[in-house]
Amino acid sequence: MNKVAPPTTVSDLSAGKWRGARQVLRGALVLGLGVGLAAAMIMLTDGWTACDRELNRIRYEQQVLARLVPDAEALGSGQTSAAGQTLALGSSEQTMRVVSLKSQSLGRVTVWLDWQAPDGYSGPIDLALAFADGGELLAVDVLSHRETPGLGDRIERERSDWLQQFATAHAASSLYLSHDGGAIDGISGATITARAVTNAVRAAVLKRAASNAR
Amino acid sequence: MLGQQDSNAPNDALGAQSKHDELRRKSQLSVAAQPSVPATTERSWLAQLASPRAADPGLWVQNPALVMLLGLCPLLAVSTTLINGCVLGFATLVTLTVSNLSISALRNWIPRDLRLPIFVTVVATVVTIVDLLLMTWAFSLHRQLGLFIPLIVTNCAVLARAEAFASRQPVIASARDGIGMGLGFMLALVALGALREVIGHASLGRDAHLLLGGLPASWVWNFNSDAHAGMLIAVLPPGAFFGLALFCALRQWPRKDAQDKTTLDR
Repeated sequence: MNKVAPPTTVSDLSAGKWRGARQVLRGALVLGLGVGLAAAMIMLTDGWTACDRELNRIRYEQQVLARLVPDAEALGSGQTSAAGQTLALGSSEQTMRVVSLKSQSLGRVTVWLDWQAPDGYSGPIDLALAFADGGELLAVDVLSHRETPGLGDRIERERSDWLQQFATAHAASSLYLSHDGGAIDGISGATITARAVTNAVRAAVLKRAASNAR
Repeated sequence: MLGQQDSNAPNDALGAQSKHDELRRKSQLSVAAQPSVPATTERSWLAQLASPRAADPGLWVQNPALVMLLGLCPLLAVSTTLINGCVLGFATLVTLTVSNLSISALRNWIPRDLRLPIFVTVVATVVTIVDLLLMTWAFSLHRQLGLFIPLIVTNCAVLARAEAFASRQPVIASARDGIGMGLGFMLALVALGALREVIGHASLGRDAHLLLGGLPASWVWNFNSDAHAGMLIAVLPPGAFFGLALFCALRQWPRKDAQDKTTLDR
């Protein structure tokens, strides 16, 4: 008498045969409506702010360029016309933008934007590298990253002078962390981040040397 | 809050008879729930928001981080310096208040069975929109804050306040709760950040110039000019646990004392 068959379907759970199904449908509808509304709000905000965000990004890029090549002539006009160039280096290699600037003290300077360190601690790190005409590395800056706040974000130029190490001339063979027998000091607590940036800089230097030799 | 749950329980057991009945019961409930929060009907919303007691439960009695132990993931991950703690604390405060406000405003339209997915959707939407707006209006601030903002979605203190408070209380009370809880979370973050920075970096207030402009670069308080001074373990994850344990113990200290006294009196 106490034996009651366990409910096997959703509709067995309620009295009416279709009540369960109807409840599930209603729930799905409410949830779908809610999620749709949320998505619509995000899309509206996204569309509304897209233009200003892109402007902010370009402005920041120009700040980075001005930091990399402080005495560049006609920064801005020359840069925006050149920023469209995209150079794909082979199939397995990265795509980056190449900007040519004329500096009063350094002559012609080539800046690579969006050069990626693919193996950061949480996602790729976008770098900007400035090369002199002869191919030697002048300076490195970080365009965007998502490293751990307080540890990995020491790679930012505003937070520490770790990046300055790349400004002194290094042979590509010594562009390793001092852990790995190179000349670059790591960041305590953020070895993976520092190693990712160093490896990417070395790859860029080698690539640049190869393309110069050609 | 409890009464609402109890009176809902038999309904579920019997099975709701019709949508009309359910709606009528709901409206009765909301009327019946009014006396439990008498302050909300008497004073203006501004007076309620500004009252000194508004922040109290979240700040100390029910501090989300030190008493309820909620939102530990961002708390432990980001409290590496004083400034980081301030920044994440403030971002959480804003998100908590806005999400409490919107969930409280929607509370009569949210079906009971679906509340959790809807809360998560609301919190994620608020965080995404705050992120986008910051990127537009305060780009330089976003460059410092941007890393922290996605972490707020993983803060279950936000979800807990939505479930325990905002889904059952009027809008003003919920906003007040959000502010109080946000301040409490910020307090824990700032304290932990300061402790870890002093021990781990032998400084206090580094990176302040990023947050407040060029002016306070000299405010950084360096105990040791050596860049590698400090015990690294305080900055690494174990240090976060040590510090949190210390603050939890300190927070519980007076209360434990009081309990002992009462047992002695008996």
